[in-house]
Amino acid sequence: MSAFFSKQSWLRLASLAALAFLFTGCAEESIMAWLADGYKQSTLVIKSTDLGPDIWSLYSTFTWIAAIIFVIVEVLLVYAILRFRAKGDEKGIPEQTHGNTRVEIAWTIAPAIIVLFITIPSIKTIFKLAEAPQDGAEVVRVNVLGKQWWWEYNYPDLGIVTANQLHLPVGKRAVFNVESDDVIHSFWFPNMGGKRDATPGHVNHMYFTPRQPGIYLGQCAEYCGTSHANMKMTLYVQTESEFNAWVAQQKAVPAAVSAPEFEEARGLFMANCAACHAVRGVAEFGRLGPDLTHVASRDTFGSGMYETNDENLSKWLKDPQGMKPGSKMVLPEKLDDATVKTLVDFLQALK
Amino acid sequence: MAREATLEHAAAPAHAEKTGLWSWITTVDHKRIGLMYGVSAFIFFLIGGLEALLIRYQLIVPESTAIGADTFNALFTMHATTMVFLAIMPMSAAFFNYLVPLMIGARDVAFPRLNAFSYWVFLLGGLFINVSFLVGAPPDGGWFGYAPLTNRAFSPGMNMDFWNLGLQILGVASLVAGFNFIVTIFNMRAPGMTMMRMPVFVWMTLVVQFLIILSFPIITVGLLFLMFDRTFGTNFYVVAAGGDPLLWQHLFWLFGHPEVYILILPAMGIVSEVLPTFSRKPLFGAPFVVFSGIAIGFLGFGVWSHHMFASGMGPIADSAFAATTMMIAIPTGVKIFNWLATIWNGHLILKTPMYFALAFVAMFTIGGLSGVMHASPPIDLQQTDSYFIVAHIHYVLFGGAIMGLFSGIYFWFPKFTGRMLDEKLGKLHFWTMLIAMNFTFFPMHFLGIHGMPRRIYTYDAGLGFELWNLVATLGSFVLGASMLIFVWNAWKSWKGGEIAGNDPWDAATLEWAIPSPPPEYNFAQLPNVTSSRPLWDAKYGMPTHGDDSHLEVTVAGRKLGDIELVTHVNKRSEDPIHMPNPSYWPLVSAAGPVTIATGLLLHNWYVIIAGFAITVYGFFRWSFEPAE
Repeated sequence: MSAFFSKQSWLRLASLAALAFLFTGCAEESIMAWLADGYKQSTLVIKSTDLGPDIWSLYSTFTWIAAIIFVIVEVLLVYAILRFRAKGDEKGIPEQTHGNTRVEIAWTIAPAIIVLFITIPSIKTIFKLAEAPQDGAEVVRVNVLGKQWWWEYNYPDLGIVTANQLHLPVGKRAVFNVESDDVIHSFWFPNMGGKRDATPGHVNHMYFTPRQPGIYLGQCAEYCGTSHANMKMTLYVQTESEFNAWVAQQKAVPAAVSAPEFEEARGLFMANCAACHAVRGVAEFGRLGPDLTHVASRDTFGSGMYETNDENLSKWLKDPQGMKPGSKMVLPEKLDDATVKTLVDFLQALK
Repeated sequence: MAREATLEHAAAPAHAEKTGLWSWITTVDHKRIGLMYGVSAFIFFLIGGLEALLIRYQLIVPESTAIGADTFNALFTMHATTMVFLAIMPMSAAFFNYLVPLMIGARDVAFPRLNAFSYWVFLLGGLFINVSFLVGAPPDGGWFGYAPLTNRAFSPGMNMDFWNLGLQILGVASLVAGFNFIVTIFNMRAPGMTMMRMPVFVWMTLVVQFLIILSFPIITVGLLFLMFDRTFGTNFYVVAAGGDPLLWQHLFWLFGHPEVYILILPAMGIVSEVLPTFSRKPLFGAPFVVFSGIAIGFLGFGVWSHHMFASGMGPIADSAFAATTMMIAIPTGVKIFNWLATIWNGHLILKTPMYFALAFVAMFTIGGLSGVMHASPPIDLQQTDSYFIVAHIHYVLFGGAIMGLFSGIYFWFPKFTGRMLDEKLGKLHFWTMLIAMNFTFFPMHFLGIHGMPRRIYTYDAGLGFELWNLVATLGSFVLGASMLIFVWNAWKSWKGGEIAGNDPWDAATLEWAIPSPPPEYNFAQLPNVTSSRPLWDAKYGMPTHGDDSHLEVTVAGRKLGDIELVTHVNKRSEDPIHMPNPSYWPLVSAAGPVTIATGLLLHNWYVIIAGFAITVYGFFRWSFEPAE
């Protein structure tokens, strides 16, 4: 708890209180970066995609206008209260003004002009965000499928299916087709700009070009049932060569699918897991749960809930619902310690 | 030509004061029904508040296991459902009921027994939804009930049946009351009370009733489809069978956005009465305030899809709904400037109702401005479904609607009870509530900006959400405590507060011309109205228009000179005043819908048929009961 009261926290508190003053043009970007410091999935990180500056310039304009109107209204209100409060005499009668048509027309037109001023750039940006890449442009295509309560990423051009951890190369346009398998979810990496709903029966499109390598956090934004809070995801924006290495690794079949020491483990996998989970080279019909072909190459599992290690995987295999409320994972029977150990060793070898 | 009359006792009451539980159960008096609405709504408000405190308790630290996922999801679903349908709407209905007949100079609403029916349907519907807690199946699909999460496949229990059927019952209550008030306002106004002389509160009431009768049928259709899907296996929202979950979203928000104005316009009406009274001036530009209210109501039907910018409607629809949404800022801005101009150059009497009304303007402005921000889709795509929206709606609905309703409670409590609320406790309540609400809700802006989605029961440590969640939770506990100050104040003042008299605030509208609390028949003689501020003009003089039939009116024991208030003398004022008889048939009839819902919940045809039989029998007996 003491961390909440660290000096840094209070500094940030003070800075946010003075937000309106700090939004000064020249220092804006560095101030944004400073404000977002310590917040791992802030919308204020604006340089991570090509469209970030467009979104931010709107955001900034609206914040400025709102802040100015806020200050005007509150200052007038407080001034009027102090200036016109009755002092002593409760029965005094001020001049009985009923209105002033000219003034009222003026303050009807003024907000109309402001509204026009902010609507036009909004509409321009809407169309810019919706702009699909031209045919033949070099893009990375990802089909995003929301499921209760995890994300499947399918790279149709690369033949890769993975879960929860998304990889993109820096500088290349990413094209997302966002859909859902069950209920409505929403695909959101705050650092990358806006969200898109994953709706069953509707494919939504989303485009951006990542500009800075790094690890970005996101999570489901549309309430989707019990474990909505546990539907987290990670985005790895990688250099071209790192990304290509990752692609090569994902396309390869791990040695464990044919290694003789995992013979027993593969049998247990077939008996307990294969109805829902696929491991290429072992069984590929199970599509209800995440593809486990390279499960150990992902540093977290359970949709970002747990670090991938022996201990967490063992706990998961013994009691998935205890580890993740509402988890849809069903085991044919309760697994004993030896079975769990064999399966965990196998899963840890799937890289 | 001046004759003397006292408004309160010009004719002998035809009915003696009735007391006892039975008199409340059978009452058709709009004032008693108003009070029952108010007390019920306040109890539901406390329940909804308790749910909110549990939500905040779970979020006080990251990765808390205090409450757990399923309970948390039920709590936020029921918090919103309770606050929207069982607290703010019926609290507004309490004011409509009590005040509209008094403000327009009528003896009751147009259909007094239908009015009692509305109340009982509302109460039984509210209890029905909350019974879900007792049977361990509270609704947990969100107050917006998005399909297909709320379809049987993903929500197999009775949880969402309680919600669906409960909302249908509440819709009946709202629709019946809506038609009743529209007829009342159009037909029951006192002589001379033209539409443009009506108090702005009555105008806002009228706009709200039109919003109700136009929007509730839409959600009823949506709810019926969902009920058919859940109960009879139809496929309105089932994708695999060609249904469309976006149909639900359009139906829900086509109701849901007007609903926002159903919640806020009554508070705007209250503030439009309180600010002038305590500024001792007329409302600045009253016609502009009225027309901007109508404009808000009208535009409110053209903006529903701004709740759906993330659903992928395409750039053209997004642009259109962004433009209409931003247009609503214009009439809203007009209202705020008119309120500021009302207090400008006024003689401000800073009593508790005025504190709350001024805070309404201050806080609602914050909610309005953040609303303009997410009217722009590129910004909204970063803010929607994040805590930024939670902050926004609470500035609108708590800083706006609740703040305005408290202003109304402090303002009219003397009229309701005959006694003043304690000023010292009132101001203590005010400051605690104002400061605590800002500590509770303002940090939510930061949480949203920094990427915290709404409706999550847990969040990871290290994302930077810790501090602001802690602040918000501590704020909410103080906010809860501030309500106890109010409850204490209301109890203490009701038992032994200062006697109010007819007109404790030196106000301008008709309800203050009669005793507090008013007699059952309200007005011994129906007043004749010649201005929008009849009582003010009666007290402080208004140029007469060559009409010589003036009356002197005694208000609160003071003679108020030559006035025009009651120039119309009821031709038959010697006759007894006709008031409707008490009746328990509205309550019996109201038991019908909730019985039908219970039958649908249990899939029991006998109970459903019994429910229909009760309703029909109740209406039948009601129809053949003598009216007076």
